[in-house]
Amino acid sequence: MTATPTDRPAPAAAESWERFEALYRSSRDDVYAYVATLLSDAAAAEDATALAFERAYRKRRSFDRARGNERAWLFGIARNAALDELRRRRRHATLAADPEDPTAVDAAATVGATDDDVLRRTVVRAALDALAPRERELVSLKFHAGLTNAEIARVLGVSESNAGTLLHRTIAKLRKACHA
Amino acid sequence: MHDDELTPEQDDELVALLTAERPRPSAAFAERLDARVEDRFARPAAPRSAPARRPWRFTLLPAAATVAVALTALVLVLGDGGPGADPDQAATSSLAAPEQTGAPDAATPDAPPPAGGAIEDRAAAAPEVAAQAPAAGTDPATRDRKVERSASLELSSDPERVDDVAQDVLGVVARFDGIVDQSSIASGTTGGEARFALRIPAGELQPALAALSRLPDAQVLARTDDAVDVNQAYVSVRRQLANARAERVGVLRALRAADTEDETLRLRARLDALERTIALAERSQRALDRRVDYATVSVSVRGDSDQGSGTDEGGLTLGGAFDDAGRVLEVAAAVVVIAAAALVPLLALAACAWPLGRALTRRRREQALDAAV
Repeated sequence: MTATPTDRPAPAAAESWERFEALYRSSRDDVYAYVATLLSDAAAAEDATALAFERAYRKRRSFDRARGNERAWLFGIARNAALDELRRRRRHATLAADPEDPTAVDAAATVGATDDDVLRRTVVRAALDALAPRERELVSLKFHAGLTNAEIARVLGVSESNAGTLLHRTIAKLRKACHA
Repeated sequence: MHDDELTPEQDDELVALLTAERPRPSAAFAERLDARVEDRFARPAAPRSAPARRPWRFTLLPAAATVAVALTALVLVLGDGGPGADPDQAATSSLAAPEQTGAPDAATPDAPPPAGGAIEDRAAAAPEVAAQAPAAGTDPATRDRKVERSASLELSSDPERVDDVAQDVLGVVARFDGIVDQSSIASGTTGGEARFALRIPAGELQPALAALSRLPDAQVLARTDDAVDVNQAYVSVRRQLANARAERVGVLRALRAADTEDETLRLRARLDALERTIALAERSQRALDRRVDYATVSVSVRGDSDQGSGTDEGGLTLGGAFDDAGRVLEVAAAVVVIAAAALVPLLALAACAWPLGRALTRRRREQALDAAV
């Protein structure tokens, strides 16, 4: 079937779509990881991730490259979606978080792992849980989503040096907790 | 070694462990989201729980405010009678019937009623309104009373049509069997004037006034109706007349019976005085009858160059159409200006509220994060 001229998207629209699709492909799992860390709820994280990409798609033409790169912009949208979900959860005061399944990660991750590996991971997980939400967010942005300090600063609305300092303190806290 | 200063191997290990803790989306979710993206989010998501939405009232608020402002502006403009409205032409058509002011209680027919009633109806006394005025003397409560009526009518006309209007006035007078006591007509292209002092049969006063108000080339500027109850005076004259006549009968009888010259002379003198009194009373009664039977009407016709500029009832002219179009545009512009005046503070308020609202939302989001477990 051949596309008629009217079926063919305009060049600017096609370019916009291609850029969005590339951003989606490169960031889908990262966004989910970040949002899931914020919400601690897989189902809510799925909703918020989908909502974030939908919002990003609708607003893709308003993206201003001068104000940061696309990933930072996308993670800003994802952050707002996740925080809106947290707000909604507070308002409705329902059991929004899924009961934790302690075997969920272990089942996949412990294949071939030694007892020492399992122990180290358990310690790190406990240290992560002990962090404040903002600190967990920093860790998530840095190590789960793989954002640079500049991108983190853009997402959080702080200066790059401030983001670096916050990250350094959080890592130090984690180290301390892991090696206590 | 300080806690903060671990070996690079330890750092790498921590990073690796943190990275390994990264949550991963389920394959089913990834597949669903891929499909939605491929579909370009054409279908709405069916989320586990609906995301927080804006309450509808916030969405409708600007629309409702805009409608309210537009309605207010419209009401203000229409309430003022439009930008070109002449305050003198603000209609106060309280055409209270003159006989109402002069109508006393039927149970006390001889009780002195109010001295008179005057109703002035400025400019907006449209012919239709004038035609609807109740006819004088037709009210049963006042039919038997003696009421003296008068009216004045001020008309305006195109200067070139003053003469025609004057002829129309005379035609109306003739149609209603009226009398022209006095008239003066001065016409010209720059301005003209006609004045009439008329007497119209009282029973025909209202139809005659209605006809005068409906003259084709004239518009009513002002109309005044007056009614003065003269019943007391009428009764007084009649009583005086009856008394004088009765006394004259008595004097004549006494004169016939008089047997001395002195008495005869005295009775003749009295008879003469009574005759004069009777004549005077009869004159007064006739005068009163004339004043009651005929209403005095003064009509003035003023040549006004503003007349006939296109808004006549006559017909549609190009100039009139331009004038009407100008007025419509003027009213529309007034509505826009008033709406803008009302919207400016609203927009200023919205401009201030917008960043405040965003800051508040941001703050609430951050609070939600702080409150998260």
